[in-house]
Formats: sequence, C-alpha cells, structure tokens
Amino acid sequence: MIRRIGSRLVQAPLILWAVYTIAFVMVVSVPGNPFEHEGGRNLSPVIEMGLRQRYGMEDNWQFYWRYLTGLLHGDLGQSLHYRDWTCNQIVRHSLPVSAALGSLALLIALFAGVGLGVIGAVRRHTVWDYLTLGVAVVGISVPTFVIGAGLLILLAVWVRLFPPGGWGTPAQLVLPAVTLALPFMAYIARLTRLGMIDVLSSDFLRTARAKGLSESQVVLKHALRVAFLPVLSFLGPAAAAVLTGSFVIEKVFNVPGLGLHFVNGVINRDQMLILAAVTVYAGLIVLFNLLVDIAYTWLDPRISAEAI
Amino acid sequence: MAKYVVTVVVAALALTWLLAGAAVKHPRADFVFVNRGTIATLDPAAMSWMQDIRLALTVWEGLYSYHPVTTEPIPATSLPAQVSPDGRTYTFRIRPEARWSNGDPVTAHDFAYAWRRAVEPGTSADYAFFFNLIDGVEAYVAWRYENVERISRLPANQRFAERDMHLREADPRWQSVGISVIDAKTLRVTLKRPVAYFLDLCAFSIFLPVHRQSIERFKVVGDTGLIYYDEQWTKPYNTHFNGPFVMTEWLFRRSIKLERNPHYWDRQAVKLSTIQMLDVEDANTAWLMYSAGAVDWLSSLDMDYAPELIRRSGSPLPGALNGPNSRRGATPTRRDIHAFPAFGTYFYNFNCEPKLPDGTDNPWHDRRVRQAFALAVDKQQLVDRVIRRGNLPADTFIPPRSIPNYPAVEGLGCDPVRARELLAQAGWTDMSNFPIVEVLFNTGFNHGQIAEAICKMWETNLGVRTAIRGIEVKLFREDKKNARYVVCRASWYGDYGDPTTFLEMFQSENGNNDSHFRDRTFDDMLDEAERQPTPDMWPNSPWPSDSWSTKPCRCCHSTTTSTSSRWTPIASPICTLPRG
Repeated sequence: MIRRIGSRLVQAPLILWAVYTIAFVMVVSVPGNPFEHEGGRNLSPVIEMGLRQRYGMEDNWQFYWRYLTGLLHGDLGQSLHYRDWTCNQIVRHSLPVSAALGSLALLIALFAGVGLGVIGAVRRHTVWDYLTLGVAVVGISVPTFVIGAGLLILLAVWVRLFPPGGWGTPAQLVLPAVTLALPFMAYIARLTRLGMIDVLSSDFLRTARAKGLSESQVVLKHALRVAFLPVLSFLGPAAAAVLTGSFVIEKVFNVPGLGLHFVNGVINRDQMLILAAVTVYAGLIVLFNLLVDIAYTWLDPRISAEAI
Repeated sequence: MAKYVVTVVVAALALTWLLAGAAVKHPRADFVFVNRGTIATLDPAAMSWMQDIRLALTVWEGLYSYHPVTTEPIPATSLPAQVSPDGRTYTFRIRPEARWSNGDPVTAHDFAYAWRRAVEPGTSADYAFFFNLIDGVEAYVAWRYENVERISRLPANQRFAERDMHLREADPRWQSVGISVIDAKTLRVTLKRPVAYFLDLCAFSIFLPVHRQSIERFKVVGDTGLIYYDEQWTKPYNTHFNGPFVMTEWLFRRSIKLERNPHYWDRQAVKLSTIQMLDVEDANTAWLMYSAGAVDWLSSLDMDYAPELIRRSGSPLPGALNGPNSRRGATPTRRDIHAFPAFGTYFYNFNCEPKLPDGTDNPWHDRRVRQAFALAVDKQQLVDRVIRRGNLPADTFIPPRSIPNYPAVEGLGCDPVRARELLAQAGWTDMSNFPIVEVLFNTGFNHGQIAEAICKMWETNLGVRTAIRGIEVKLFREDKKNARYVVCRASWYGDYGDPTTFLEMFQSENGNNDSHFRDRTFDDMLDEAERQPTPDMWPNSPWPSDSWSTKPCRCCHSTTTSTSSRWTPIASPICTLPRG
C-alpha cells in the first residue's frame, strides 16, 4: 500500500503538468483578446504592448514558462479581468464559499434523499410513494435556475423568510443549499428506494422480524445498511461536482463562489484565471483520488491496494 | 450507527459554519446599492468601466466634479480655475482645507504625480489620450513608448544600463510638459490649443489625484523601463482617499463598504455615514433583492422584463414612451422606476472598404447606398415595438440637445421612397443581384431581436435578401475591429461634452473607426472644428447632414434605466452618470 501511494505521489505532479500544458494550449489558441473590452473603445496597439510586457505575455513561450515557474512557487498569477486581484486571492475568497455551500447541500441531499427513498420503499404504491416519486421527478427534471428563482420569489420576496441572495450570514446559506441539493437528493432518493425494495424481501429481514424486532428497527438498522451501498458509490462523484461550485446557483443566489470563474474566466478570456482555476481543480481531483484510494484500503481490507 | 451519523452531521455543520465565516452579523449600511458589473479595477488611471468610474468618483475627487443633476463640471478640490484669455492656460488653486483621509493636505504634487502616472506606458490606460491635449504630453509618451520598445529588443545583459540611462533622461523631459506645480497648492496646465471641454475632463476618473506616499511603495520598474504599480495598492488598507467617502472594506465579488470621510472639505454636505455597494452578477437577482428591500437602489435594469417595468413607470422621458405613438398603460404604478436619456447611440456600421471580406465589390462603399439603407429603417417602430425601453429614435449620431452650444442637426429619418431612389441613382434598380445583407452582432441582450427587425424592414422596403449572424462578444470585437463584416451592430457613449467625442471615431486614422470610413474632407473639417473654442463656431455649423452623417445607420439613442433610491437626500457623489 505504501508503494501504491508513493507511486501516486510521483504521478501527481506529472498529471498536473500535463493538465496545465493542455489547458495552456487551449487557452492561447482560443480566438479573442483578453485585453479587449466588451464594449467601448478599441484596444490601441501601444497599450496592448504595455499590458503584455507588464504581465509577461509578449509571446506564448515566455508566458508558458513564466506561469509555470510561478505555479511552482504557489503563484497562480494575476487576473487580467479583475485587475486588482491575484488569482491566489480570488481562489482564497471563492473556494471556501463553494466548499461550504457544497458540503451543506450534500448533507441535505443525503438525509432528505435517503429519508424519501425509505418512505417510498416501505409504503410502496401508496400516496406516500407517489409523493416521493413526484418530488424526485421535479428535482431531477426542473432546472435549478427555475427552482432557485421560484424559491427566491416565494420565500424571499413574498414571504420574507430568507434574505434574497448574497453571502455572509447562515440564513443566506439555506436557499442556495436547498436548491443545489435538490437534484442530488432526488437521485439519492431513487437509488435508496430501489435498493430498499430489493432488500425488504430478503431472508435475513424475515429473520430479524421473526426475532421480534420492531418494523422501524428492521428497516433502519438492517435493511438500510445494505440499501445504502449504491448511494455510497454515487457520493464520490457527487461530492466532487458539488464542492467546486455551481455556475447557475452562484448566479441566481449571488454567491461569490468558484463556479462562476470557470465560466466568466473563459468569457472574459482571462487567461491567467482560467489556468488558475483549471490547475486548482485538477489539484483537488488528484488530492481527492489519493484520499479515496487510502480510504478504500483502510475501510475494506479485502480490497487490496494492488488491485485498485 | 446513530452515534456515527450524529458525529458526521455535527462535524459537517461545524465545517460549513467555519468556511462560511457566518458568525459575524454586520449592521445594514445607510444606503445599499447594486453597482452593475464587477469592479474591474479601482486604479483611477486604468479604469474604463462605468461601475469602476462610479465608485472612483465617490472615494476620490478631482479638481472639478460633475454637478449631480446637470453633470456640468463644478469646482471640487480646486477653487474655480483661472483661464488665460487665449484659453490655453488653466491655473488651479487647490482648496486649503482639502485633505486626504489620513489628514495629509491634498497638494498640486498629488495631481501632477497622478497625471504623469496615468500616461506612463506601464499604466496602459485606455483614456490616456485625453492628456494629449496638454502641451508636450503626446511627444513625451511617444518617446517613452519608443524607448521601452527599443530596450525590450536588446539582449537582457544590455537592458539595465540602457534603461537607467533612458529613465534619467525622462525626468527633465517631463519638466517641459505643460503640467507645472507652481507651489504646493497651485497647479498650472498649458494646453496645446484652447479646449472648451477641458474642465469637463478634469472631473473624469483619469484626472483624479492619488495619494503619492502610499502608492509609491508599490512602484515597480521593469527591466525594459516600463514603470507600473502592483495593483494591490488599490486595496482599502493600502491607500488614502480625498473624496466624500473612504473605502473601508472590499470583499472580492461581494461588497464594498464606504464610510464618510472625516477629512473631506465639504463634509457638511454628506448626509450618509455608510454606504454598501453590492456586487450582483445576475440582473434578475438584483431586482429580487430590490423588491425584498435588501437594496435601496439599482443603478441599471437589464432584465428581459425591464420594458414592462418602464411601461408602468410613467417616467417623464421625452422619448417614444411619451410620444404620440406611445401605447402606455393608464396610470403609472411604478413611480420608482426611471428611464432617462443617456449620452450614447446604438447604431449599425456599414463596411466602407471598396471590397467586402469575401472579396466581392462592396455596394456600401457608395455613400448613396448607405443613405438608402439608413432611410429604410423605421426607428420609431424599432423603439416602440422592439426595444421598448423608452429610447429616442436616432436620426443623427449625436443625441440631440445633449451638448451645449451644438445646434440640432437634421438627420436621416425614415423614407423608403427616397431610399429606393438613392439606390437607383447608385445603379441598383434590380435588387436581385444585390449581395446578401448579413448583419453581425454579439449575442445577448436584445441585439438579435433588433437585427431581425431591421432586416425585415430592409427586405420589405428595399427588396434585399438578408441574414443575421450572432457571435460571442470577444469574437465579435475582433471581427468588428478588423472590418470582417458586411453590416455590424455598434454603440458609442460620449466621454465629454463636445461633439468630437462622437465624431472623431469616423476620422480615417482613428483607432475606433471600425467601418473603415475614409473621407479627407471630413477629416479636415473635424481638424478645423477642433481648433474652435466652442462647437457653435465650427465651420459650416450645423454640418450638412449628407456630407458626413450617413456613415452609420443609427437606430436609437441609449437610455439608462434605474430605480429611484429609497432615500430622498441622495449624497452628491451618487449620480448615475449617464455620460460615463
């Protein structure tokens, strides 16, 4: 296992370098000038010369090496669009926001999803089942920007229970977290319900009932443990998706997270910010994968480290 | 199992709490507003976006500033300027009581320093060309650029010696420029020629002073002689301000907090003690925040349903909504919505090169064809039915009556009959051979709808075939700048109260002449006009419309829409600045 982790550690910088290089080639080959404004005056050639010299971007080779050297020193560069901020400052401001929102959303999705799934399976073909099915269908099929705007109008404008977007207070966290959680919750609910229905008719539960356990103990203690396994394997990718932010949620609820920068960086051709965002994201994925590897071998000794 | 679950939940919630930094609750500011668009930079020399300028004019104050209602320049940090009889020399006496937010007096050196910084190649300011009006600046800047470029071509080991020699020469050269500090409180500016709008410029962001001692710490001299400043200097904890408010907190893409400047010379006039500027990416969210009372003022309304709000507002706009064709609802129900004319125009550029991008002959090279296309657009219909934001239909390029002393010009209205006559004169009697009229625009807003409406009008009125092509804005900018289009959408906002702010973009060598229009007579007329002290003394004023005004096909003049503030005593620096 030590050897396995060791080789992963050797691979990690190579993977990051490859990701950086591919991203760099894409960034500089996309047409459009990062220094040209969306509207107003055209960029004059002398001013562009000054800016390119200032940011070390006169030619692509120079840009590539300078940025790479910076990366090795932990410097993600200077945003070309938000000129007063370095990419390090931007990541430092945005990543915790996305992570906080994402972890809360994941928690909501997990508990509400499993709860709905269990109810659906136990009360199969009753009103309760159809109700949870309805919630799941809505959660999966209605886009988050519709749900988000709907929640805002309902709970922030008509009934003023929550603040209408923004960031900084616990109350501002609730609506975006619920909206972000909804599709994941719906998926988890369906997974749980299916797993549960399979398990409920199995022999070991009959034994559990026969030895006099109450129905709730049977379901929650014995059946759920088995039915939860498919949900567990879904949580991995879901966590990665949720923690790095969501463009739509951040826009609708005005949450200053990282998700917006992936999209706005490209729209603004903010080459430094794109490279910074991609490198950070790649770094996180490499890190998470490493952690998952370690966790798997630790949790289940049958999965030998060599077999992964 | 239950124990594990509880532990996990508590840990996750604690983590969330920690990451959200949620514990502190701040009191609401006296005035909360949404400044549309994220701040790009707070360096007053480098800024060019409206939201940046709006904030800069709240925390810094120039020699002059804008009147909150009329936007006329009024004395601010300076006492009223003394102008020499030939109109070339301005002497500014800085108010003795003018101070920076740390108590330092504001001096003429602060302005001279800020202005020199603004034109330096390292600052790369979009608006640096304004300083070319001052005697000697253009030559100095050209000399600097030339040398920086020369040094950048040298091998690295020779650069430093060359750079130091060049920079040693820079200071004496700057002394000969028409910006001189007479004493700590007196600044004298000598212009190349009399400029009627110079005081107007003195209120603009690039002419703002900077606190010398604090910015100096961030100065970097590049190895090619480029002088620039680490952008961190604009952070509230790194600099001082001389405007009515000081910035006390700047959270990236979240909010900026302003507090009353205790050292501001006119502090009695400042009614608010705290202001919060929120950064809201989505216009719809901003509107919901306003509706819920979390925000007092929206600087602009960019949502799809803005026309409906404007319709209900009953704004006293001299434009389409209140005109004879208006089909406005009975009584205004949203008195807090305001639409008012802005200092800008939405128009279409025709490619004026002899050949189109595909190499075929360009019919729009002929002025009559351009005129015909302009005459075939019913701008009234366009503003009433398509744009619906209360814009004025535009027959001229410069918004009528927007510039004092500049007479109203009769432009090209809508006249399909005359349009066809002009086409016939240009040799186009049979329109079946006419190239397909392809309109290029950047996707978003209502550019696509406008393009469709105009194409429909051309098809009906002129019998041409049309096509529309919407592309992403950065690609659009490149195509437009390099004249890779047949017809493209454009818009322009004036920067100062003089017709040249609009007209110069059609001079042959102007960097913003995207239609590649070239006319010696026009160039000479504008050069001659620039030498006149006020616009009514221009040669042939008002200019005959068909001698020059037919380059772009104008659609409408721009409008700014915003909500009213819930506050009646609006502090003077909060002005929507329709002419930014």
